[in-house]
Amino acid sequence: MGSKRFNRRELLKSGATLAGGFTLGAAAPALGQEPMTHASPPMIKGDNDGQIAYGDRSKHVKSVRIPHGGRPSPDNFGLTFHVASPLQDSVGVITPSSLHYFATTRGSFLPDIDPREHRFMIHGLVDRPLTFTMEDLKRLPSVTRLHFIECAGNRSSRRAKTVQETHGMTSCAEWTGVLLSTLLKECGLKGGASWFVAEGVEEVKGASSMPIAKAMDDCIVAYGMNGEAVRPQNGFPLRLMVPGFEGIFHTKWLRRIKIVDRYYMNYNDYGHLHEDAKEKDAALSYQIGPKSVITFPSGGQQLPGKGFYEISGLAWSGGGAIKLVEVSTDGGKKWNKAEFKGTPQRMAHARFAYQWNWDGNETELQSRCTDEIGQVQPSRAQIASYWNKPFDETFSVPGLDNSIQPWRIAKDGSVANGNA
Amino acid sequence: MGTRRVLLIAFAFALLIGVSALAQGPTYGVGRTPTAEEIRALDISIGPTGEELPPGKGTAKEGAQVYRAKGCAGCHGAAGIGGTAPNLKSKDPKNPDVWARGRILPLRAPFATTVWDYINRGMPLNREGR
Repeated sequence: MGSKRFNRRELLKSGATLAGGFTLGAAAPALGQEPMTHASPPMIKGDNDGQIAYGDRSKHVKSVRIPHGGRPSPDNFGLTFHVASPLQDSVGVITPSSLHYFATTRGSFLPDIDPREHRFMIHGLVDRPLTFTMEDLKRLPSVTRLHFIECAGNRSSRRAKTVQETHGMTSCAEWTGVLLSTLLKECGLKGGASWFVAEGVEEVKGASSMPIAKAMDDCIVAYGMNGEAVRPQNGFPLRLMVPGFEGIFHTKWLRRIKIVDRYYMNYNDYGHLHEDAKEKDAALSYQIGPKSVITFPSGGQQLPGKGFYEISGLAWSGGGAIKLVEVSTDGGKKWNKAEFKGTPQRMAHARFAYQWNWDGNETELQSRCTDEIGQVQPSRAQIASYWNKPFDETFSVPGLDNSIQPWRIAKDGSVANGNA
Repeated sequence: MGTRRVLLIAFAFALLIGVSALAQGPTYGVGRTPTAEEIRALDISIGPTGEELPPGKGTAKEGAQVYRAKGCAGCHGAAGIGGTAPNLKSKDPKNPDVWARGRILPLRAPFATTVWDYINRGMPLNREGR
């Protein structure tokens, strides 16, 4: 017992061996808190860009993105693929731009676009095709909205250990730009305009077909992200936001939108043909289902001991705002209503929390959410039954995975993936 | 709901009496009208009808020559399978279930235009669109 306590104390001191060590240290006064001292920390002179021109974070904060799904990024050709956000360290609902996840259609270099040269054209079934410079776009009435983006490949698996691996392909930022509907009204839609194809500048010039109703509803041609210009990996100088739709539709480095009268079946569209559970035909998928995950405590983290913890997590849905999040601390037997930190926005991450006293016994934490149109996040067992597949260790969710994520808490306070 | 319905009725009525004022002009007058030539140069979209395709024709035999001449085999393999790049043929060609064949573009794409468009916009690696 004595030596165990000593080990924990060593862990707390070294901080870096613990995920989110600073919160855990504060949460465990009984387990050997250091005596308070008033020794001054080393002082940094404010004499370089990192302190004055463009602020760096503290060198003690090490939270970073990681390549997703085992594919190196950059690869041997220098192409970047999917990169996941460190959700385990996130607080609030805004993902810092430097930590925002990104994905590329098939591995891509990063277009280095001079915004003065960039043009965005709308053409096809319109009365007046129009080309906009970045300056033009910034003259027009703008909107600023909080929206998540999530990659369709964001899925939990038995191999994944951390929430970054199971859920890191989603992020939420504040986006600023012109509503696509504003621009389309400026062009004037012709009769028969029913779909649009959005195209970017990267090598494959990713082109996706989307319904014109979505364009007229809430799509944003965005030049701003978290209070500054959109970051290069997220589409500088211009990206399309298609709130609630799968990440691939949020066309980065946006250069052209063609208004058309049918589904265009481009490469990205072809990638969206899925086998459907009920029909033998191809099914289209667009909208992200209701989804939530506990980010603290989550896989790979270590609870220092029994006692009080605020369970914290994120919930989002392509169907609108999150209306309800429930948390279970006993493996899904009893569900407790979580509280929201702030007001949930439409198609944005909502931060939820639930206050929990851990009795030190083995248990499992889960969260599930309901969105404003009444959609409820399913368990993996429910999804298996929908697809008429056996729910065993071979099961993986077909298509989009919005299943409930269990985190298993062991007696020693270690947290592991409950799907493993 | 009620408002929308009233609007719909009003709209239908306006159509009946032929109010031309419904046709809207630009509100802000921002942006420039591209020339037909500018649009042609940028518009690489190919829909399933193929109407945007450039004039041309070919046979599978000629296609095989192009596949070799353009260096496709270097990454996709001499026979369209077993290279470092994605397979273009099924490992299990006898299986008629298209979903069982995996995500192979030329097999699963429902229109030839999808394949043509992808090669045109995204191939070959590092020399895309050329």
